[in-house]
Amino acid sequence: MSKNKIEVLERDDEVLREQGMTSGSRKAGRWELRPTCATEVSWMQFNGVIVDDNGMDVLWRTSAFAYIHSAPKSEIRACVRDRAQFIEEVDEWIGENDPSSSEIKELSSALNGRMNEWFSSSSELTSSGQSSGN
Amino acid sequence: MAGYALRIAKVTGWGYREIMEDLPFAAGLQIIHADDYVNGVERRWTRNERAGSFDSLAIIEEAFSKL
Repeated sequence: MSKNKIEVLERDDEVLREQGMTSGSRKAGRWELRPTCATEVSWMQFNGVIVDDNGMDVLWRTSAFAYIHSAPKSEIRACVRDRAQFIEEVDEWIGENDPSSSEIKELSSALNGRMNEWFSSSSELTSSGQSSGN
Repeated sequence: MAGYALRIAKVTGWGYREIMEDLPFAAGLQIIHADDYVNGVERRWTRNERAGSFDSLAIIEEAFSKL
């Protein structure tokens, strides 16, 4: 590679990967959202927040995302492995916070942004790639 | 998720909390990608589009708002 080559991010997904490396806390509506780390991903996957398998609507899934990223972790841990209880906690969060439609839009945009960073950062072994044994 | 945590721990030497609760998941995935790359293991991005679905204007505005 030439020393003088200017590194330019040419693809949109390259930009998203760059963002994903430094993705930190961010504000959405009234809520300060924690970064999406492995714990948050695991909690969202377990409760069908990312891929809807609860039959929940956008309001609920967006609120679940906000709850997982803003409520105290000890509170989330107490309910996150029990789906029925988790659904109840998110319903309660919706009742207490009463997010407006513009706040739901902001939260939904934050959710999509985090998912895009995540999906653009995932990779798979090529057919010529050798397993590292892990 | 256990495999992810183990890989990151091997590369970085970080503990459970740093890996699971501090490191953005997207960054962790890229660390694994980079580690494979330096060890000669080929991986390809599952998504590498020129036109990903993100709002470039919002990103530009956000960058300018920080100036």
